[in-house]
Amino acid sequence: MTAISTGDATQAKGGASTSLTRVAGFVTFILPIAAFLAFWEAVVWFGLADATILPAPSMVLVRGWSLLNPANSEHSLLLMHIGASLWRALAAFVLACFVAIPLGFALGLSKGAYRALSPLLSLLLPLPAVAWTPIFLVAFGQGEITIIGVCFLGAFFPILYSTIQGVRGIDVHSIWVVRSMGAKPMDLFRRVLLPGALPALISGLKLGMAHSWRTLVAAEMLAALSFGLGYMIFAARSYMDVSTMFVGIVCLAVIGLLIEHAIFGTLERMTVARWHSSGKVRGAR
Amino acid sequence: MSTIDLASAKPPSEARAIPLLPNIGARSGVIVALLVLWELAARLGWINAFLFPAPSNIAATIWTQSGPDGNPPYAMPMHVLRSMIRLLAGIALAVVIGTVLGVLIGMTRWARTLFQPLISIFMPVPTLAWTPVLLLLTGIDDRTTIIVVFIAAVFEVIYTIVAGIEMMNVKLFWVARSMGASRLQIFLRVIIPAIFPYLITGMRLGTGYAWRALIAAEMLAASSLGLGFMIYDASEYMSTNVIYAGIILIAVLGYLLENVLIGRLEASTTEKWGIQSER
Amino acid sequence: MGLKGSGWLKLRVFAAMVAAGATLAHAATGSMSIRVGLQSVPPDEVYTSKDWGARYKLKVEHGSFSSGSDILKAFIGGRVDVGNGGSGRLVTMAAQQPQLFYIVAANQYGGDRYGVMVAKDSPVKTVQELKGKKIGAVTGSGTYSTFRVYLDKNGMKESDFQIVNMKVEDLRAAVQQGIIDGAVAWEPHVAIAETMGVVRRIQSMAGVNDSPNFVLVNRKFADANPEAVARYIATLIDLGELINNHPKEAAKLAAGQISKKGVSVDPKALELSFTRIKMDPKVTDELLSELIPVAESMKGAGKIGAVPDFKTLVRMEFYEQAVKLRQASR
Repeated sequence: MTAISTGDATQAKGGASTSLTRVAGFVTFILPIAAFLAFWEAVVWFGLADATILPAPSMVLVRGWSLLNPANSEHSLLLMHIGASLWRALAAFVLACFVAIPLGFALGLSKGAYRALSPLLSLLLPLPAVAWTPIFLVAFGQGEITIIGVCFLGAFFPILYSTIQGVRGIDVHSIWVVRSMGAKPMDLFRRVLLPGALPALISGLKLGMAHSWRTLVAAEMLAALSFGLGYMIFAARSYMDVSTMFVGIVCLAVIGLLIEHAIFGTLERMTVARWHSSGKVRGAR
Repeated sequence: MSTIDLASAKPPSEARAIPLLPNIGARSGVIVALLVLWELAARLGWINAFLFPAPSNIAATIWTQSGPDGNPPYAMPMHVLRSMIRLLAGIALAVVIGTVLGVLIGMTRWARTLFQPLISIFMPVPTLAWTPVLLLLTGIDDRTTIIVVFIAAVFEVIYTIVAGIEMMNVKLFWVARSMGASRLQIFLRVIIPAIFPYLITGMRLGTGYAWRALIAAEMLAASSLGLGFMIYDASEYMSTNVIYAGIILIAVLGYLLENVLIGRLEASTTEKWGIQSER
Repeated sequence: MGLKGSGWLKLRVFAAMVAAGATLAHAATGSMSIRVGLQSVPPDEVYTSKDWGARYKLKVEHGSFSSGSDILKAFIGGRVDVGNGGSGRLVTMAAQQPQLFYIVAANQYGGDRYGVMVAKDSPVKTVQELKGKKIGAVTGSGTYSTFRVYLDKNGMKESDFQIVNMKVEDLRAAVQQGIIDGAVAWEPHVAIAETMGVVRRIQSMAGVNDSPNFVLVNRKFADANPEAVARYIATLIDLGELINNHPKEAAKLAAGQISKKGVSVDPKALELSFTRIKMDPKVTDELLSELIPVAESMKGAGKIGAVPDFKTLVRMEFYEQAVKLRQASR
């Protein structure tokens, strides 16, 4: 995705990397967005769109601030909603990592197990995790277990799949060589398997977290009892508080953006650059 | 969704090696074994048969709900049909609009400057987050679900087409121009064939996302038909048979759509045009 | 929808599994507390906004649910002691597992809480004028059943209109944008949309019927803790008095409670809404008799075997005890 942003392109090009080109890049990036927001604002102010259906950006901003501002209640309501959502998505992601990564290594190393399970995996992989929500709702009712369970499934399959692919992508000879040199299993894991599988693993983690977040939105709308951005949006919807709905949607978008770009982008640059000539992960896209 | 799609995470050679019918028979041993085990466990009471109804019961539910004795008659085919109509309408929209935008962004400087920032901020928005807004704006479930499908698929189409144009051989372009081809001719004879394989790839990836988004959108927004609506409604009435039937249909249809149907299309275009879009 | 029949059967099996254990454990402790299922509708928001049980030394444990059907599921599953049900679901439960619960009080009722709305600038003034046009409604709801009774009483039929099935939250925007020409909705949705100044209510369902909701108590819980049930009903009488006699104050409480979720709603809208809702826990014969036509039509549709005898499910002694409790604590 990042590849498509002009910001990156200028950065890459600017060998001299003067701060001036960077600023120019930033301006060309931000200008269309500002124009878009201004257009939206104007559409509402001139009455072409009804503010009770499509609130102007300024109204969303004002509402967002009043929700963020702890002066109005004991806590910042918006931060509490965001915190609840992040906690669920992260908990699901971490759980998925604990299960999927070891399983992925096991399946990746054993040809027989992989062959046996791959039809099942290729059937479950394209299945939207949200489709499991009704079963969770019947079994556990609404609440944390259902939301985290569904997000777990959303994160689990991409991580598992990428880990398997990463491990299977490792050159068998390098495993043999290291083994013949008398490496212990732990060394083998640390020196060969982990670095070899890492690029795919990281793209799997990124995908897993992104899926966890995306699944969370739907799961919270269907199953949250209190707090969480999805819950806030749906609660606002039932009382026709349109501005709050938009505040929620903007938060979902910004956090999604941060997860995909800022956190994992940095992680990729840090780790992959250390072990590999960078950019290999991008092979997937 | 962005970045890496699952299907595209496979190396291209692997993607081609999708097991087709004869292969499935040989390789589905584990699935069959699991089903038998599940059936036994449910029948013998090892697992809660309410939460995990026996596969034979689920199959029976699919069968009765597909026939005139369903409630309403022919319920399953109607749900499947409605989901498919929404999916196809959304994908068609995404292909048309995505191609136009993709070509504009790929070919013109102004479109690139204008749209790239907008796309890169809108693309990571979870597709489902649009649902409440769309419900406000359009009100009716079919429009909302179709637009959700459109949003889920369109970014992939745009992205692959821009990538396709960037990889296009510039010489081809010059040659055509030096031979006196008009703009329209270049567009029809050079650009369209060149981006076609990319369009198909974009469609395959987009369909995968769109299918997931559609199911979730139907759960949230639909008020009458569609597989997503069916399983959510079934959870209201605790009909676990129907939920599992729906999950199975969603999985199988998703697999067929993404891998077999469009995968085939992709393979055949690659053969015909002799170009493979590396992603 | 279509799959209800088999669903309820499964529900019973599931319920039986969970219910037994939970209620027994509760009875053993004998504590003066009660678990109540609440949802995000204005009267329940008022109930959540303060400790109504304090006056009677009753600990009320709130469980929040997203819909009435979820409360009933939890009620059947034994996760809450008190639930409430509108006509359709109550009839199904009365027909299939009457041994599970007592009807101990009425919850909100009154036809005025259902209304037909059109866009503010629409020329339409009566339901008659909507003939041949699109009306949005939640077709499975009690509101819609009442609307059908209204049509019947006024010489109209469903087929005179194009009925569009939608979710209640979507009706307001759809009317406003002209996607539908009118909508049948329940409170507070009508009042909020009116207060926003985007729709007009052209017809109330007042006088058509009362479409009552009833308060259900788990039978085992009630037998073991009659005093707790009476005290709970006393709090409901207090709540009903506040909402009916001081709608402004009640609206302020509800709006404050809703704002704790981060949602802002105009207290005036809730006040208007409260003036249209009747809240008196007393179960009258008239209210009870409204269940009969519902049950008969469900029997006709094959959803239940026979019309249940609702009177055998009613226990008024808890209400009478509650009235005494209120006098005593005055």
